[in-house]
Formats: sequence, C-alpha cells, structure tokens
Amino acid sequence: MRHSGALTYLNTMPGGVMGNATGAGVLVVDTSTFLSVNSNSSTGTMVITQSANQAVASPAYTFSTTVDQYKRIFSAQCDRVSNYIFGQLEYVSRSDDEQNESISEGIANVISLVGEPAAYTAFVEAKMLKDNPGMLGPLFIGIATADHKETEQDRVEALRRYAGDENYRVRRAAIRALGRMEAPAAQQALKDISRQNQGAELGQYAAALLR
Amino acid sequence: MALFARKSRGGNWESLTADGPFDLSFPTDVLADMLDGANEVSVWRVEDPPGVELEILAAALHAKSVENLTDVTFRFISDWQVKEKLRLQMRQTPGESVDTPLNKSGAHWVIETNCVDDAIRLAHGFKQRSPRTLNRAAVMRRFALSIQEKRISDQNIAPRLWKRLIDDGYLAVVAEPEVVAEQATPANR
Repeated sequence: MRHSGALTYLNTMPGGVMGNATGAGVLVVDTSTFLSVNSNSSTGTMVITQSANQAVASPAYTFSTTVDQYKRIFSAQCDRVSNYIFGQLEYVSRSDDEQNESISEGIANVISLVGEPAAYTAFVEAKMLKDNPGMLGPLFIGIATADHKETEQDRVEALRRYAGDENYRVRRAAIRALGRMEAPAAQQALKDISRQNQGAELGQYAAALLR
Repeated sequence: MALFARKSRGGNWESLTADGPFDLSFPTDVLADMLDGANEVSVWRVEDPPGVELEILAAALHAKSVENLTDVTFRFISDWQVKEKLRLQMRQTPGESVDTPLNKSGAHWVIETNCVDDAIRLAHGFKQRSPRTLNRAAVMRRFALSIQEKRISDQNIAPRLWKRLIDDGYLAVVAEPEVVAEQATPANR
C-alpha cells in the first residue's frame, strides 16, 4: 500500500503523554522509498525511521515517559510517608503530651525533608482520621510545624478548613496547630477564627495564640 | 481574693453552660480533663487577676523529660467558690513542678471530689471564669527566664530543650570572664 502526500493523525493513545498534550500529533510522510514518522509533542520531538514502505497502523505498544517514572517515584514516596505517619501515630498517647509532641516533630521532619509528597499524604491521612481527633492533634501539629515554604500556603488552608469542622476537638486541634505556624496566612486565619467565634472559647483560644 | 488555677489539656468545655447540664448528659471529656487520679483535682493558688505568677506556673508545669514546650491553657475558680459555695475539702500539698521555689511556696492545693456530683459542680465553677491561654512563645520566654533566675534547675531540662531554647533565641550562652590569678612578682612576694 502506498501513500502520497502527508497525513496527520492525532495521537490518542490512552495514558500516553503525547495523547494528553495539546497540539500533539504524529505526522506520517510517505516518500515511496521509506516511511518516516515524525512524532512530536509539546515537550519533545523524536524521529522514527522505518525502511518498510507501508502504512503505520495504530500502535499497540505504550510509551514509558518521564512523567510515568515521576508518577511512580511520587507514588512510592507517598506510600513510604503514609507508612511512616501511621507508624508514628500508633504511639499517640491520650495522656502524654510530651510523647505526642515528639510524634508531631517526627511528622514535621519528614514533611520538611520530602516536601510535597509528604505534605499532601499528610492531608490524606488527616482526612482518613477525621473521626479520630485524638490522633489528628499530633498530625496537625506535624503539618503545621514542618519547615517547607512551598507547601506552607496549602498547609494553612488545610488547617483552616479543619478549624471549621463540626467536631469541637477537631476544630480546637486545628486552631492549636495554626497557632504554631509563623506564616502571615496562619496569623490571618487565627484572626478570622477569633472574629467569627467572638465570645466563644475557641475564639478566645485563637486570639490567645496570636499574642 | 485568690484564685486557683488548673492546667487544662482539652475537653469540650465550650459545650458546658453555667447552668447545666447536671445529669448523665454531662460531657465526660470535661470530667476527664479536670480530674486527677484518686478523685483529686490539683490546682495552684494565684492572685486575682493573675499576674506574672501565672507565667511562672506555665513554665513550671512541664515534665523533666520534655523536649519541647507548648501552649498552656489555665482554668480558674475562686477560693470562695470552692470553700464556701461548693463546700469542697481542700488541702495544701507540696507541688511537683520543675520550679523548686514554686513548689516550696505553698501554692499547690488539692481539691477533693467525693462523688460525680462534686466533680460536675466543680466543673461548673471552673466554667464561670474565662480560661487563659499562654502561647508557646510566651511559655518558652518564661521558661528561659526561670532558668536564668535559677527557679528551674538545669537537671530538670532535657538536652534537646536546651538546644531548642538556644536555637530559637530564648537563651544565649555567655562565657563568664576568665579570672586570671595574679602572678607573684618580686615586688609582692
């Protein structure tokens, strides 16, 4: 089978990065002597030269892209952090604040070290532990006291959302954690909470943590 | 009039109103926050309104092994309310804080609660006054000051807490001026 002229196909491989990339396509050029396929995406271009003089059928192979590798690495980091956080939270004590403080410090350290995968995994863990305020307290402090600027805004926002939770203990734990952050956004959140809960204990608590 | 202060660790005190409930629906986490072992409630006597002694107390109420300090919330009840209104028994005991002068000052008292009704009435008594929270920075500042004033002995401070106090700028290590012994010279021999 021969082709004349140039044909352009939209790459629709499921999961392939080029399939997702805007404007990505495969250009098939038939010169009768050999077929060349110019595959390009928004991130790169590769040229595949085939000696067969035949039409290129829809490929059955899958690309292993850099993004796939990043996904795997990110996913593995999240798994490891998740295991670590759960391992730490197993030692939460209902009566020993000092022990809980060291658990929080461990979680904060891993967020500081690993960054985004750890911070967002901690958010997921918090969501899963929503009905267990005893464990949420140390986790919130860990999220708050991590030293990682890039996730700071997201961490404040997450804690701020929990500060509006229907469970009093979750609200209090979130406010306490916000009180441990030095970010201006955290201070602003405490001011807002203090204003919204004026006269109530939690409002006073938020105001006290600001001083 | 003096007040008795108690360190509060949690409990849904917000759900408690001054006039109820006095029945089985009373929040148990409030009781758990208030009661110590053996039906006793440990309190510290402070001035009304509380002054610097409350900060000293906040710094003092940490375990020896603690490696970090946190914010502290106090709840208050007047001595008149405990003794005259609630008619609960009190006794003075030596304190067990890390602040030795505070322990010796006779500020530590124990309120005895013989039944659940006593505990519930006492919780309502604590609810009548606003709690006061000292944030972590204030506690760290006062802890450093208590070390400087030798209220808290260095034996009661974990090494990592020392480091944290210095790293965070609450304490500075200052070398004492070296005393050089006067050398004997032929003139003063």
